[in-house]
Parts: sequence; C-alpha cells; structure tokens
Amino acid sequence: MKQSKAKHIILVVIIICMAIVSILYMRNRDYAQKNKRIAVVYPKNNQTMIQEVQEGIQDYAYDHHIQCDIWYKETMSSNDLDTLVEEEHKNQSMGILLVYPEKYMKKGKYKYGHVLALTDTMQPSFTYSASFSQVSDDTVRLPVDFDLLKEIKDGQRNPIYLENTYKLGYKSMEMIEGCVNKSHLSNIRLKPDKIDQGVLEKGSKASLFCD
Amino acid sequence: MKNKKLSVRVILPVVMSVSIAACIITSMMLFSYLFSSYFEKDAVEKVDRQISSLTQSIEKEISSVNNLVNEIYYQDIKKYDCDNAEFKTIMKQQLSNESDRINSISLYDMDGNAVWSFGDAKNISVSSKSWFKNAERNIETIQYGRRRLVEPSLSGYVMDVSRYVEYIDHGYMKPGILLVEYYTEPIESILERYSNQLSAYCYLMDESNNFIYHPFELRMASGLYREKTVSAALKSNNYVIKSINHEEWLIERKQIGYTGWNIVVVNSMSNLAIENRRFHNIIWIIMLLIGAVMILLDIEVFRNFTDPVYRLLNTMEEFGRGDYETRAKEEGIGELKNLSANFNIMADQLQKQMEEIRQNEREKQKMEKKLLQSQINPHFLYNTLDSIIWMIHSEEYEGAAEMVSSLAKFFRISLSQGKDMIPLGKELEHATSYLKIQNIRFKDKFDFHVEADQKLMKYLIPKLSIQPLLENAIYHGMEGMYDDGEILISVYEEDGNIKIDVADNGLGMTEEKLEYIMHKQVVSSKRGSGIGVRNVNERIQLIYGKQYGITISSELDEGTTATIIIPKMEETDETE
Amino acid sequence: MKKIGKYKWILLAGLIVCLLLTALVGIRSKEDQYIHVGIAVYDLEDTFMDSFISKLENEIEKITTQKKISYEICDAKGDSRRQNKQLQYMYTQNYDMMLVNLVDPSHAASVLNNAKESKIPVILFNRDIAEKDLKITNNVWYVGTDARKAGEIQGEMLHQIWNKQRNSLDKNQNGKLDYVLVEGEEDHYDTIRRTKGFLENSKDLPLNTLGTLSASWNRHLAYKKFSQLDENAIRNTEAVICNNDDMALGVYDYYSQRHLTLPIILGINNSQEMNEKIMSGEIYGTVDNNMDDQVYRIIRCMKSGLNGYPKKYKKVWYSQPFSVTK
Repeated sequence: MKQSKAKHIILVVIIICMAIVSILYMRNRDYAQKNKRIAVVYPKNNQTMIQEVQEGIQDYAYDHHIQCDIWYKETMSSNDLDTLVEEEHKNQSMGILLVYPEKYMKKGKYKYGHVLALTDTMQPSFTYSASFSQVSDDTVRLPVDFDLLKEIKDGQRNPIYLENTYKLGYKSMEMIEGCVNKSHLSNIRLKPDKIDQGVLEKGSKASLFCD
Repeated sequence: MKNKKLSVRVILPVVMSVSIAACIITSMMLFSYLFSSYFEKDAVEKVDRQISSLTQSIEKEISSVNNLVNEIYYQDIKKYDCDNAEFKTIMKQQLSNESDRINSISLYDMDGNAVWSFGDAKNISVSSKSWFKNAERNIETIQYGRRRLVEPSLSGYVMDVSRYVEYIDHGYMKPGILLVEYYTEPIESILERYSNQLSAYCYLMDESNNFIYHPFELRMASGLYREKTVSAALKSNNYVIKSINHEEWLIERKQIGYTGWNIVVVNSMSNLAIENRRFHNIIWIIMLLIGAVMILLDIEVFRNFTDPVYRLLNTMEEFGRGDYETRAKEEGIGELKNLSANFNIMADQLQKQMEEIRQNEREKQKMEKKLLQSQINPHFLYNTLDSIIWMIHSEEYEGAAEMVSSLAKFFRISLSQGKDMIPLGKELEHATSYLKIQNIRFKDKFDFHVEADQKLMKYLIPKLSIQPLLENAIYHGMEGMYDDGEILISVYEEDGNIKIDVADNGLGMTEEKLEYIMHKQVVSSKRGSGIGVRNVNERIQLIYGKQYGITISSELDEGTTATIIIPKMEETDETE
Repeated sequence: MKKIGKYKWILLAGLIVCLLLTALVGIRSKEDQYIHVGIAVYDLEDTFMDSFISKLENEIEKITTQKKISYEICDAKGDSRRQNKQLQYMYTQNYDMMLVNLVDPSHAASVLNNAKESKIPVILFNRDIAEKDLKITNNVWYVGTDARKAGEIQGEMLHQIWNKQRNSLDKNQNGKLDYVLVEGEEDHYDTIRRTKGFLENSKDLPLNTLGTLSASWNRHLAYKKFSQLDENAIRNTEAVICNNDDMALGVYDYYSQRHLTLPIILGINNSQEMNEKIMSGEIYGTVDNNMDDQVYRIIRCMKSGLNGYPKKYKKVWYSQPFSVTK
C-alpha cells in the first residue's frame, strides 16, 4: 500500500508540474516572436536630413516587429564604435545601422561584419555600406518641389532621377535582418528612380511626393 | 502453465487502455475539427464586424459630401446668378467653413470654360477630364473621380467630385458642371483607425480598382510591397480564404454604396493558426496526460484484483505439488479475500482428513502388528505343551493326541498363511480347536456346542475374532461352574448380516465388568491370544465400519452372550 | 524494496526536469540592456521646440541610472497624420516611457488610451490638452507653460513701457496704444490663454486694436499675414503683441526688410534669436517660459515613472514664466 501511495503522489506532482508548464507556455503570447533588435545611429540635430530615412527605418521595424536601439551622436570615434558593437551584441541585436556617419565619424577603416553604413560619401570607410549608385543625370531627394514635378509633367524638363532615401532606409534594415544568420552583410546600391512624364501620369509614385 | 497471451493480467488492462486511448483520440479529433472551424468562423465574424463598421463610416462621409455638394447646388447655385456679389461672398464663406474638407469649388460650362472658381483650382481645359465627361453623361448623380495630389503644396490628396448643374447666367439657365476638390483626408482617417499592420490591414479601391487609400502606399511606391489580394477580393462574393506565399489570408470585400468603391479587409490567418496550433498542443498534452493517468490508474486497480488471484493460483499450485503447509494470504478486495479464506479452510480440512487417514492407517498397522504378534502366543503354547507332557506322563495318550492335533490346527489357522480374513468355516474350526484344548485342560469343566448355518461358512471374517470371546467366556463365565458350564456358538444370518453368538451360562458380569472388557487394552495374556474383546471390536469396525462389531449382553447368574455382527463378505482378491 | 527505490528516483528525476523546463521557459527571453524612451515632437521647425528638445536630449544623457537610456525623436512636421503614424510605430516599440508633444491636442484621448493598453507611461508636454483626458490613466503627466501668466506678463511689460515712454511710444499721438495682436494656432490652448492673459492684464491701458492675425506660431505666416494688413494700420502700429517669438520675428522681418522703424514687439519664448535682438535693442522684450524648468520637470517625472513611482509627482505642472527685456 505504501509503495503505491508514494507512486500516486509523485504522479500527481508530475501532472501539476506539466499543467504549470503548459499554462506558462500559453500565457506568454509572444513566445513565437523572439525579441528582434537592431541598433541605429543618427547624427544629432539633423532631423531634416534623416527624416525620410528615419521613416523608412521605422516602417520596416513596424512591419517586422523589430525593436530599435536608437542613438544620436555628435561625434563617434573608432573606440566608441567598438564599444557600441560590443554592447549591442550583448543586447542580442542583429546588427548596427549607421545613418550618415559622415556627420559624426572620421574617415578610416572600420571593419565589422554586421555594421551597415547608410552614407553618401563614406562608402570606402566601411566594409558594408548602403548608398545610391551613381547616375550621370541630375538627382534629387525627397521632398520634391511641386514646380519641378509640374515642369516634368508638362514636358518642359528632362526626366529627373529620384534618390529614394525612404527606400534606402527600409532596405538597409531589411539587409541587417536578412543576414542575421550569415556571417556578414552585403552592400546595397540603390538605383535612383527615373521620374518622367509617364511615371507622373500613371500616378503610382504619387505617395512619394506627398508631403 | 500460463498461456501468456491469454493471461487475464494482460488482457484486461490492455483492453481498458486501448478503449481509453480510442476514446481520447476520437474526442481529440472531434474537438480539433470543431475547434478549427469555430476559430475560423470567429475570425470571419470579427472581420465582418470590422468591415461593416468601416463601411458605415465611409458611407456616412460620402453622404455628407453629397449633402455638401447638393447644398452648394440647391441653396446657392440655383438661387443666385453667378455674377451676383452676394453669391460670391457666400461661396467664399462656404469654402472657408469647409476648408478642411474642400480645396476648391469651381463651375464650368459645357465647353469646359470656368464660369467661376474659388480656392486653389486650376483653370486649364477640363472638357477632356474624366470627371467632366462622367458628370456630363450621368446628370442625376454625383461623380467621384480619381484622387491625385493636392497642388501645389503636395500636402495630401484630393478627389474630383463633380455633378451636372444648371446655373443662372445673366438670367439664363445654363447647363454646367460643378467641380468640388474634396480632400480625401476624412476617409483616410476613418481607414487609419483600423491600425493597419502587415498581418491585418484594410484598403479602399475606386471603381477602376485604383487605390483611394492603402496603408502601405509609400512602400508600394518604393517597390517594397505589392498588394496581391486585389484579384481574390474582387472575385469573392463575401469573403475568401486564400493561400498566398504559403500563408493563409482571410480577404473580405464590401462594396460602398453610391460610389461603387470597394473596401477590402485582409487578415492573416497564420497568427490564428499559431494560436490554434498552440491551443491544440496544450489540449493534446493535457488529454494525453489524462489518458496516461487513467491507464496507470486502471492498471493499478487491476493489480489489486489480479494480484490476489495470482497469488492464490501460486499457492494452489504449491499445494498441489505437495506443500500442504502453504496457506493463501487472506488479502484482497471483497470476495477475493473470501476466496483465499475459503481455500485455506479447504486446505485445513484436507490436511485434517489426511491426518485422520494417516492416523487410521497407523492404528491399523499397529493392530495388524499386534495381530501378527498374537498369532503366536508363547504362553498358551507352553501351557498346552505342558498339559500334553502331563497327559503323556499320565499315559492319557488319547487325550494327548487330541490335544496335539487341536494345537496344530489352532496354530495353523492362527497363521492362515498370513491372511487377515479367513472363511467363517475355518474360524469356527479355530474356535473349536481352542475349545477342545481348553476343555481337556479344564477336565471337561464345560460343554460346548456349535450351531452354524452352513450357508454362511464361505463368508469371510477377520481371523482370531471368535477366540477372544471364548477366552472371556471361559475365564469369566466358567468360573465357579462345576460340570454344568455350557458354551454355545451360534452362527446365523440376520438382516442380511452374519451374527455369531458366543453364549455361556456363567455368572454373568456387571456393567462395569462389561465396560472393562469392551475397552480393556490387552497387551498379552497367558490365557489365549492376548487380544482383547476391544481389539476384535476395533478390528471389525475398522474393516467393516462402525455399524458392525461386538455387543455383549449379560445377566448376572444367568450368563453372558457376546455377539459379533459382520456383513457378508465373499472371498475375493481384494481382501488382503 | 530496491525496485521501489529505483522507480522513485526515476520519477524524481523526471520531476526535476519538469521544474527546470518551467524555469527555463520563464527566463527564456533575456532582458533588454537599455531603457527606451520615445519622444514625439509636433514640429522641430518651431525654434522653441528645437531648443527644447536639444536641452531635453542633453539632460537625458546626463541621467545616471543603472541602464543607459536610448531615445528616439520623431518629428511630425506639423502634420497630425504623420504624428499618428509615428505614434503607431512608437506603441509597437515597447518603450519604457513616451514623451509626446501633440500636433492635435484633441487626439490626446486616443494617445492615452493606446498608451494605457500598451502599459507605457506618458509625459505630455507643451501642447495643452483637456484636463478630462488626463483622467484616462494614472501613468500620465503634463508639463507645460502657464500660458495665461505669460500673456499677463506681456501685459505688464506693455504697462511698463507705456508708463515710462508714453510720448515716444504714441507715435500718432492719439492717446491710444495702437497695437496688432498676432495669435498662434487657432483653437490652441496656449493661444487662447496667452491672448486672454494679455488682454486681461492690459485692460486698463488705452488699447486700440488695429488687427488680429492668426499665424499658427509660424514666422513666415506671420510675415505674410502682417503684410496683408492695411497700409494705414501698419503705419499706425505702435506695438505688436505676438503669442510667440517666431511670429514676432516674422513681424520683425517685415519691418527690417522695409527698413521701417520697429514698433514695440513682444513675443513669448525667449528663443536665442529673439534674445539677441532684445539685447541689441531692436525688439523690446519677450517672456521666458522657463524652458529649462520644464525640461527638468520632465526629467524628474521621467525618472520617477521609470523607477515605478507614478504618484510621486503631480500630474499637471506649469512652469513659471518671467519677463525678459534689455
């Protein structure tokens, strides 16, 4: 009798344990989504410059449930970058996106596997960078002036090329998340979009110009 | 030998477990099926409600725009001449009142020339514009055109809302087209309330399936997103669940009244599926646990039943093999305990009976030993030989010869080649031999007669049965008798049994003496065989049963009669 | 006996494994190393907000708590829809605290409701909202300016100068103080209160309203609207009372571009440029809304909110303004 009593008690305890485990399992509804994190560094006091890129970054984070560690820097040395990479690694971030490092970093050789620099001029300083590929024609960035658009629509001007900074920001985030399991990133070279009469007539890009 | 396959111990728990498992699995499957369809129905209902509420709000907004346009038409345009200054102030007032909804109001004649316009409107040739043509064609309804960016500020979108009007120009009623540039912002804010995310969002299309509102427009314009649900939405009647890129999406479409726009709500079912699956897993685990517990429990319970039975089985086997000391443990539920107890009782009984039999056997052995012993009683022999020697010395040669011959016969029949049972005839001879010897020794103190039914002579009787009685008769009965002692041996049949009477006319005996003789254990006696009446009685009873034996009746001074009652037993090989 | 013992050990081992699993499930997700704060600003082009946020950033970086604070600034550029989108983004970022400067104060309720649902404490600042909306959740503070007092101080300043330099002030010598009022955003609490404060405090002055403009806090708009005024009015303007510095500077622009003599210009905010012009004597004065105090107050509320003491500081707090003249 005693032996089977002990068996019963242990059985009951195991059942309770499993019940607790399954309740905990169910309770945390976000268990399926691991906390995804990317660190982004903006130049301080440059809101107009980063507005579109920031929107692209925010939209990506919203779409793919990514938490961002945002830092505003006036200056950043190579050591600072080192410390940042280390700390972010501790915080389980997937990578670091440096937005326009030309504003706060000096030229140099920064070699990191998971640091992407969104830049216009500092591509050679970083192993991986995101920027626009060169076009011979004039390029503009958002926001675009209405008069310019009108002239193109009316045919008074040659088609212009639009450097879509929103898209660059979005794609940079996409690159960092996409390469989380690989050992390194790759470069992003976005081709500027051609804006000519036809495109404006079609109106599919209208939302880009909407302020 | 246990046939393992059919062992009760295995079959019953297995059957129970299989049935429990079957129950659980069927209920799980049923549950799964019901649950999934419930979840799906629930999701569809939820989206239904959302789309209804959005549709209502949008229709309300459209209705208010319609009211506004009609107000401008009926209250203002129809009342005033278009040149009227008051008209102009009223229109300006309208415009500023509704400045957050309307960008401009303009009136064009049928050739496309502007009659008047208030607000930031363009005045280029409008007769080719779609809104112009649509209003021209449908004069009763208000036309909703495509949306485009507000110019020049590019701060939002406007939609061309036009209708056919009749206005007063210098007293003449002329047909024209009224154009109101309506900010789409109110509609956008209604749709934005939906909190659009990639997994749950809504969008609005106009009649030509261009987007009036789409939450991911910026991404689409940048080539980062493509809306893949349009065709599925248009094909569906109410809602459809489509699989796009290995993910299930719930797409529901509703048409907006008056404008023919379509609002589409898209919800990802994969979140639902994940929730579903998780819920399922939990329930499965719980059910499996319950099943495991139940199976374990019923195995336990069964043990409680089958173990005592098996123990009893073992005990019985041991018992059968010869270990008669083993008893079953009296434990178990209810009747099982009784089973063991009763087995024990039976075992006890058996053991006792066996003891009894053994005891009887031992007694029999003892008795037979004695019999054997008594077959040659030395004292009687010496006495008789002495008598013979005396008679020879006395030159009573006849008497001596008689004695020798009787002695020989006596001992020959006593031995009877070791047989236990001899024919009654022989026994009588034995008895007469004894009597003759005693007669001679006691100098004819008594007389004896034998009256035997000849028919009964062939039947068997244990040897040395009559002689002890004769002993008693001579030594107890003939004492004190001088020359008139008589001993009579009668053998007759009564009630199917054989009766042998040994009667004497002696002193008789008291009750006590009777008792004494019946129960006296005689070890050895000089007088005869040494077997007492008791032994004879016991022997008879042992062989034939308790209903046979010796009875003695006596009357003081009259005589004593000892009667042997035995059944008829013929000589067969069995009597050994 | 031995069999039972082994059985028991196996079951015990199973039990321990279960408990470990339970524990692991709980610790599964590692903690975030930083504290996250989201800052939503209505328009960084508003110079006041720009300097406000700069100071706020500096103060946040000075905070020494156990975890470093990572903040993000979202500029709505005056567009309520853009701010809505930014706020949607912010709710999903799981901030530990949100600082919100609303474009449209009537949206306060929805912001507070969403924050309540996501369990994020909110500090609303500088764009006044209806008090009733603050009752939605306990985890909210409002830090603002005493707009009425600011207006009153403007009145006081006008008093001062009228009393001191009445003759030189009254250009057209009509015995009245002819002024133009340039108001901020329509329906904005600050506009209403500042104007009211000013008007109340200058009741006893012989004021003559030449015009009331609504310039939405904007320098260019103030310039444009002022230039739309009647010629006569502009000539007679002796004082221009503006609800904020940017608009005051817009009016200043108008005058300086035409090289006209500047009237008495009063603003509110004490922005850097305004301050310079006051020190150089071109503009008369402004009201400092004590931006620093506001920032400190925000920081304090932030700290106490992050540490989990929401009740430590009062929900509504206004900074005390003071006048700034040469």
